[in-house]
Amino acid sequence: MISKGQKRKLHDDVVGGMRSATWESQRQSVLGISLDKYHRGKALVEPSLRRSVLIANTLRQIHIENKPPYGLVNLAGPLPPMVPSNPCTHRESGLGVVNSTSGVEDMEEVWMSSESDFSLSAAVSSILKELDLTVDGGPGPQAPQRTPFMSIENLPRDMGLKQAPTCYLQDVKLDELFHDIDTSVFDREMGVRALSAAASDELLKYLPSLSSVPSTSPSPFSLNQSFRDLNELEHIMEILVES
Amino acid sequence: MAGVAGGNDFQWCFSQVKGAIDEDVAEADIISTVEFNNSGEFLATGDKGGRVVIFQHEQECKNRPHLRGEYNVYSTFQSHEPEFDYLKSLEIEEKINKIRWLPQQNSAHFLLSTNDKTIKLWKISERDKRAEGYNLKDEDGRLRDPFRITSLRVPVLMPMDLMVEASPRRVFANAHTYHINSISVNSDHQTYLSADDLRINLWHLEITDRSFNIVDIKPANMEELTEVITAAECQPNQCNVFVYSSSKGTIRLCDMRAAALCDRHTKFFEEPEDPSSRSFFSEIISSISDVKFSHSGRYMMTRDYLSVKVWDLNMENRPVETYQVHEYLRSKLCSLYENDCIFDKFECCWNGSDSAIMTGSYNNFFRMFDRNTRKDITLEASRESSKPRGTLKPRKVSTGGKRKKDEISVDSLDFNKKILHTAWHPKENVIAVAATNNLYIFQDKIN
Repeated sequence: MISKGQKRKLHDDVVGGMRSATWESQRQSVLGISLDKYHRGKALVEPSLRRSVLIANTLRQIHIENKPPYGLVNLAGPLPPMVPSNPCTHRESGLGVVNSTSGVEDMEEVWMSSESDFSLSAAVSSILKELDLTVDGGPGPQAPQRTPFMSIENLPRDMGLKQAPTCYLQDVKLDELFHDIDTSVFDREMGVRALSAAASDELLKYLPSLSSVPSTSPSPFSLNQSFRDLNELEHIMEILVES
Repeated sequence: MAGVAGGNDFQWCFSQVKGAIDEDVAEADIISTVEFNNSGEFLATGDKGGRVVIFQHEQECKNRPHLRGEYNVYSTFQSHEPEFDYLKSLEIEEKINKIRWLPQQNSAHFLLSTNDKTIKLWKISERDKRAEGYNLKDEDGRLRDPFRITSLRVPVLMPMDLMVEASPRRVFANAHTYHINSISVNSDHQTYLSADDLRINLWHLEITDRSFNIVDIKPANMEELTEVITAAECQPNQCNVFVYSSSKGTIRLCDMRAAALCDRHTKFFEEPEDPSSRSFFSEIISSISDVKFSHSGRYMMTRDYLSVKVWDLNMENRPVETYQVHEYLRSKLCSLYENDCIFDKFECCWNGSDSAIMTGSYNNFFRMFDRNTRKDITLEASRESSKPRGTLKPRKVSTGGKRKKDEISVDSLDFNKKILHTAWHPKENVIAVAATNNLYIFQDKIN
C-alpha cells in the first residue's frame, strides 16, 4: 500500500509549478478572503457591481485552477507516489494534497476535486444569483456597517436611522445553500457519509455566518479536522481495496 | 505650451491648497472629482456631500509676470441630495462622481454633474446689476400700498456687488439602473453620453424625459455576468465615435453611424496578457479605471491598477506606450486585495499639448510622465512639502533592500492617502490634485 522509503522531494513541488505549497496556500487564502469579502461586500451601503463581479471572477478562477494541471490522473507512473514519513501527517487542506499511494491518491484527488468543484461552483452561482436579486430590484439585504480598514472611498456613512433588519434573511440564504449541497449531491454521488460531512463542514467553514456565531476565523489546520481526515482516508482505502 | 521652450523638465511649485487642515476628515468633504473647464479659467470640484465648488483663475498681476494668478472660490452649490430608493431599499449616495463642463457659448457657464443615478445640468451666471425703482414694491421687496402710488417711474439698472448664481436647468433622471461612472460631452455640443456598469445612454442636452440606449452588456442571466463597463468617453473631434472600457482590461471603440445599438464594437483594444506575471489578481489589476482621449483625438490613455497605457487608435493589439505607476505594489497584491485598495479607481489626465500625462498613487504621491523624454517624476501633495511657491521635491519609493535617505519604503506608505483625482489645465502648466479633502494647485515655474 504505502511503500516505504520513497519521499517526495522538495523540488518536485517547485517543478510542479502551480502545485507548489506556496501557490496552494496562496490559493487557499485568496479563496478565504474572496468568500469573506463577498459577504462583507453585501454589507456595503451601495453594492458595487464592479467589485462583486471581480470577486466572483476571482472565485471562479480559483475554482478552475483547482484542477490538477498536469493531468495527475492520467500520468502513467513516472511521478513517484507521495508518501508521508509519518502516516499521521494532516492534509494541508481538505481540497488538494493528499497522502497515499499514487493509485489511491489519483482517485482521491480526482474525487476530492470534483467534490470541491461542485461545492465551489454551487457557491459561485448562488453568489451571482443573489447579485442579480440585489441589483435588479429584489429585496437586497441591508447589513450593518462595514468594518474599518476599507478604502476611504467606501467608508460607511453615518446612518443612525437605518438599521439592518435583514441579518436573519442572509442566514436563511446561507442555510439553504448549505442544505442544497448537503443533501442532493454528496449522498447521491458517493454514499460516503463521513467524507460528505467533512466536505460540507469544509464549505461551511468558508461561508462565514454573519450573526450569532462568533467570528473567530476557523483554521483549516485544526486538530479535529486532521483526525477526521485520517479516519476518512482509511475508510476510503478500505472501500477501494475491497472493491 | 508655455514653459517647455528650451527645457523639458517641469519645475512644479506649490501654489495653493484648499480645504480644512483638520486631521479629522468629514466624509462629506472628501473630493470625488476635479475638472478644469475648456479655457482653464474655472476649476470645479465635487465632493461626497454632493456639493460643487467652482474656483476662478484670478487676473494675473501685470507687474510680476512670473506670478500666476490664484484660483479663488467663485461659486458653491449643493448639486445632489441623498435619496432613498424605496423599491430596492437602498440609499442613493449624493456623491458627485463626475463633472464635465460644456463649451462656453455665452456669458454663462454650464456644467454637467452626476451622482450614481441622476445627471444635472447647472447654469452658473453672474449678476452685477440690479434694477432699482420698482413701482409696486419697495427697495427691500415689500409690496407698496397701492393707494400710495401716485406716479409711475421706469426702473433703473444700478451696479451691485458681483453675485454668482447656480441654477439647475435640466435634470436627467431615471435612466440608469446601475451606478453611473462616466459622462462625456459630445463634440457636437448638443448631446452627451452617460455610462453605468452595464449600459450607456445618449442624451440630448435639451431633452430630459428620454435618452437612447446605445450599449447594453447586461446578460439575460445575471449569473453569466463577468464583465462591467468602467468608463466611457466621446472622441473629441468625431461626434459619432466613442469608447468604453471594461473590468477585464479591454476597450471598445464604437461608431454610432454603424448601428442604433452599438453592442458590436468597431475596434477592440486589448493587450495580450504576459503569462509570466499571471496571478490570482491578474484580472482585477487589469480592470481599467479611467479612459481619456488625447486632445488631438489620435490617442487614448487607460489607467489600470498598476500602470498607464497610451493607445494609438489605429493599433488594437497593444498599447504604444506603457508607464508603470507603482510596480512595487505587485508583490503586495494579496494584502491590497484584503484591504480593498486593489479596487481603488485612479484617474489619469493629459496636459494641453498631449506631451505629458499624470496620474495618482498612494501616500499622497502623484506621478507624471513625459512622453517625449520618457522621464518620470513622483511628487507629493501634502502640507509638509508645500512651502509657498516652493519647488516640489521629487519623491522616491525604495524597492530594494537598502533604503536611501529621503526614500520611503513600500511598507511605510499610507494607503489611506490616495490621489484618485487629478486635472491638468488645458493650456497652461497648472495642475490640480485632490488629496482626500484637500485640493492642491501646483504650477510650473517659468524660467
